[in-house]
Amino acid sequence: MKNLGRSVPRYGADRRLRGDVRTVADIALPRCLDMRLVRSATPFGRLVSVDCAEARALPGVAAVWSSAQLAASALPIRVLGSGALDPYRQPLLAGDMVRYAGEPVAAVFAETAAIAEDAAELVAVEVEADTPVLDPVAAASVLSGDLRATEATTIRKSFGDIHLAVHNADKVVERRFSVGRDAPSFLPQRASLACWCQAREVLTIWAGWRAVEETRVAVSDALGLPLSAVEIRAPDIDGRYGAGAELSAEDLLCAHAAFALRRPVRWLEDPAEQISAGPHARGIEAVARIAFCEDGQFLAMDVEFWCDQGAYVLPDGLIAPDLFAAMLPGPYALEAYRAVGHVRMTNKPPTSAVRGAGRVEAAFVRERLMDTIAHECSLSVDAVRRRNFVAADAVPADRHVDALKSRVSLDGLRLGELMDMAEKRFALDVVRRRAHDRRVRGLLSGLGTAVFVEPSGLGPVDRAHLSVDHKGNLEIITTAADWGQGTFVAFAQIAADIVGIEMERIRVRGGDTCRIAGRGATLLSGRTVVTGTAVQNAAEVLREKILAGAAVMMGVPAERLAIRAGRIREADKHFGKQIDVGEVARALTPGLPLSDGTGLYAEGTNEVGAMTYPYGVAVAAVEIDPHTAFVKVTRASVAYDAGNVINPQLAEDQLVSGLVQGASAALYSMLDGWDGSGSAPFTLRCAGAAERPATEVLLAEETPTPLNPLGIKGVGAGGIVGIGAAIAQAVDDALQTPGFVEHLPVSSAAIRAHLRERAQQKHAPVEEPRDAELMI
Amino acid sequence: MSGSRPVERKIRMSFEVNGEALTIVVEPRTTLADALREACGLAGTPHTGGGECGGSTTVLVDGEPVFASLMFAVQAHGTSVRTVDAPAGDRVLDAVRSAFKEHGASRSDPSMAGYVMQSVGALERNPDLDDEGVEDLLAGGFSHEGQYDSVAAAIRTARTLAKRAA
Amino acid sequence: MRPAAFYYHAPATIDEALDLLAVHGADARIIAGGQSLVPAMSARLARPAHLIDINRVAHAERPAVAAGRLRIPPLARHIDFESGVVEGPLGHILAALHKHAGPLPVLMRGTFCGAIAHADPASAWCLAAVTLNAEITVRSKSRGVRTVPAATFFETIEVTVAEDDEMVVEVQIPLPDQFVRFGFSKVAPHSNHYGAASCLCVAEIDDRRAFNVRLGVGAVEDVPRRLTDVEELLERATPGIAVIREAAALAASFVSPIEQPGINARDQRELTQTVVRHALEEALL
Repeated sequence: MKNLGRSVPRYGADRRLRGDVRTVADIALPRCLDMRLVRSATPFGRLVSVDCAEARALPGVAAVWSSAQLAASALPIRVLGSGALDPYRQPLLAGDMVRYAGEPVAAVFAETAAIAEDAAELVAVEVEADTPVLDPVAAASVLSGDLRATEATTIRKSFGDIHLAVHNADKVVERRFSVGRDAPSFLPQRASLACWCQAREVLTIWAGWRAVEETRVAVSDALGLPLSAVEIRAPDIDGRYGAGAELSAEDLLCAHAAFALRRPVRWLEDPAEQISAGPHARGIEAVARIAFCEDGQFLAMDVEFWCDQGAYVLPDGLIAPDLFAAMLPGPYALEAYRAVGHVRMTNKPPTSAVRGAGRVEAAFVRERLMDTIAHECSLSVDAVRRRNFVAADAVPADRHVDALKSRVSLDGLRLGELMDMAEKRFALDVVRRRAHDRRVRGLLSGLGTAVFVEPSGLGPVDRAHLSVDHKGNLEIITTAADWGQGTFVAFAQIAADIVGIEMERIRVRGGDTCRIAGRGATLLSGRTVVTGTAVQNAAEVLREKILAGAAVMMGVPAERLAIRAGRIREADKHFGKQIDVGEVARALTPGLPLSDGTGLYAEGTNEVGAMTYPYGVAVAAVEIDPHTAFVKVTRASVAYDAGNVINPQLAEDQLVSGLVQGASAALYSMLDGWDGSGSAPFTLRCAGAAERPATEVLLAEETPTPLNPLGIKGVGAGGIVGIGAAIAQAVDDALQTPGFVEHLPVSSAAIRAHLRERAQQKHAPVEEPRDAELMI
Repeated sequence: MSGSRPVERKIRMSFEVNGEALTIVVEPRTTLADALREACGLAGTPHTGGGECGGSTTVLVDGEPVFASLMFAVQAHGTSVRTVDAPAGDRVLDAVRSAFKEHGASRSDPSMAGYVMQSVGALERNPDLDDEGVEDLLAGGFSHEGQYDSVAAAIRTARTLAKRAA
Repeated sequence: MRPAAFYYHAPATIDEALDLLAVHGADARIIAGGQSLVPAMSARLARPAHLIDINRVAHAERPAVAAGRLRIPPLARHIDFESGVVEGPLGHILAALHKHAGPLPVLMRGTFCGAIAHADPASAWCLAAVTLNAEITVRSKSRGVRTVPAATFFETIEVTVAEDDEMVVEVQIPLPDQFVRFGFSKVAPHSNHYGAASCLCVAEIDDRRAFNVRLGVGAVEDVPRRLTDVEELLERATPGIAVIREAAALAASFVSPIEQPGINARDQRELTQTVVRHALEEALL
């Protein structure tokens, strides 16, 4: 094992430094048309008419479509979909109704992007505006003028006897928390390119999706083509953790147009579209009733929540509410739990799964509730946490709820130890003392922590093909594409160690349906877990094949052979005959006596039973400017146990980027200042370099999972999940006001109002003793 | 909006791109970023869909770092433009590239192209760029991946490498 | 996000540019740095049929001092103010403010006069122009030259008194006394956010008295504005923490904040109080 556990640089890491990239926008096909969408400016209303005549007359315009030119077609609901949800699927182009500002109403196809935009301005859209629904909680059951019920679906998860637990409790407290709507990260924009080849009768699509095979099925269904007539190619994809990787109406429109117009069609989203019309995220409000004992034992949680789903249920739209309900109990052993989630339609852009979907929100609500218990019982929150962790001897621990139809069962949880490690590594006693000292001097400085478990490695299945060419080069083909997170190099590390071949001889390809079919979705984190295990399985088969072939060629029993650096020799001899894997590959060429008909080739499949559950401790230190009430996150750290780590640098990069993204999202929303009516504003409302916190990562590797032979759990969202909750607690600490933060992103306006109130109390004639003084 | 729509009239322009003399025909409304991508076939300056995104479209026009998305191509007529696509052999650019690679400040983040060119421009203007200057440079971009610390370290290393190569 | 089509003109002289403006008027826009205009055009919020590019106009780049005034021509870029465009305190003030125009690529390209013509209420240059009693010279073919004090030049958000056929050809800033002191402060929720409030204060201090105090507040109202009542208060009293507090509170009560996303008027006042206090502490203490 010399590659596993090593920080091997990711492939093509420096390509951006040389301009050596081929994203969708960089693929130039002859006679390609640019698509531009005409979007509704009205959030809700009856679509009276769409007049495309003037646009069609503009020179350079190939076609203009409204729903009249497009057979009724809608996006599928891929996750947790059902026939009952059909009315909530998004049409590719609005039909009788427009349901959000930004909804595509017409599509223009023109010779250049500029002409397409000129023509789009000439499309006259008439809408009879109606009153939009903006508040998911207060929404009436049926929208006026709309035939759909406002509640698309209700998510229910429960175990145990709530009434009994409440009866047994010393205290029952109800709290309301919410996480605001956000737009996913900014760069890069979505893009799609489709090309119909009449000679081959094949539609080729280049797009950065995460669920390539599902998308292929969706396209073949939408166009009525055989599955084999749809090819999907993965272009260079820049790390994209937003909802941009989801199949969108725009993607299917490109595919339709390329097929109908017999010309390549591309769509390159512009930044304004991304925020005003792209999928949004988060937007959950929860009322939690918790029952607990005075010693801090957490007995039960009874939660009702409302999800601001937006105007339609997108293909991945139900991931967030489902995972919110599934992960809310987190690492705590409850006697009873009940969650009822109302997935509500509003006249805003639909939401989808972005990094940490549902879990960021769950960690925030849950850890706020732990603070509530601690406060009510006059205990430290750490004591309350430790008191309630699922016992280490109870692992694997069945949590009695499903997450995306997979039973939640914790595969190793030593959170108490991880908290100790975090305390030591991040010198939290020093940070805590410093924050205290600063508060004594009148500054607003605080420290917060949060603990969480994270579902990872969602199946159901993934595949890998490994083959060795005649020169001894190993090729790995997987269904998964590399999104910039570097999974390809992790796959190579796995294969290199198992087969016994140098990294330099390995090439990895993926996300290309011409080379491999089958699933390969980056849903949740843990591509390395699911696909990596498929690679491992294939590598083991390949190794056996190499040894068997070499045994015949060398006249030595296979069990006495070893493969090192791609050369096979007798394991206990340092000298003597060696042959290269390339020679074995040549000998195994189909048609030759040694061949089994496939050459030096192996397939690996990984059918995932249960997900893995890595866990972590997030830590945040904040400073609040007493004059402006602006919050700055000075430190953001995470201690994370993802089992064995294949490539520490990749893992660390993932966690750091999650911390930075999460710290920004906990303070600012891309949609700050948007009241929900009209189009969402196009402004970059997230932290920049000046706001970056100092980040630290601790990779614990204490609890390798028994679920896969490598013992690996996923890393992807580990940085983002707990940091918002930690920041909330840190703000409470800085203000010395337990339970102050009830909403993410943290509102400076609320802090300002609080400070104002406090100052007034201070100047009040009868001065009450302050908390700080009482504590002495 | 005025009543009559301007008729598209393309303009022939010449400039030097990464040392190569080029003549292209563009509409006046084509930004330099789009012209570099579409007329010159250089993919290094990321597509932003119009507008400036996180500093990613920085190029050097006559040695000055500017956002290629915030000027029109015709304005670059007669200039010398350098982009992140430039071949090896440029002292400061080589130093910046190798420093970015060394610090892992490369990844797949499109803003890295912008950071590279801003760093080249800044180090050519001021080889002794101080730490405040480095922070200013960081503020000129937006790293989707939050890799600011590696970028900062890379710029500091590039400063040393570029001086050594001088 | 691609601009609407336009006719492109690249005049070689200001006179040629003014001729074009005289013909096309409201259908034309001057482009110098373009750092605000190009994004507006890309979003089709601005759609001039004629774009008059003055970047090829000769001798319009170097700020120079004449008759006790700094004269800033139309192609002086933000970066030109980086290291003291003029000896003495004005050079220091402008050097301190120039960075607030944006990141390096914006500093390299954007112009001082362009910022004045654009009249963004949060612009540090507009605030400087008002606070430092700048005069703005505009020219048109038909009406010739007129010079407008900065205090009356800005009308409201992105609107100035300049007519469609007029162009900002120069900004003049009187050189302050060589012993003048200054303070500048700006707050924003984060670095990618618009400034929520900013303040520039210049004053002379002699024998523990402040005089010739000029205090301007930007980003809060629709145009940057000097708060003369606050200036008078400061000139009457001995500079110190108490009077600074009083002045800041007074400034906050005088401003009428414009709407900003996520920040209500009351908060805006408090932020104003903060920037005024910081700027005064820097200038006077």
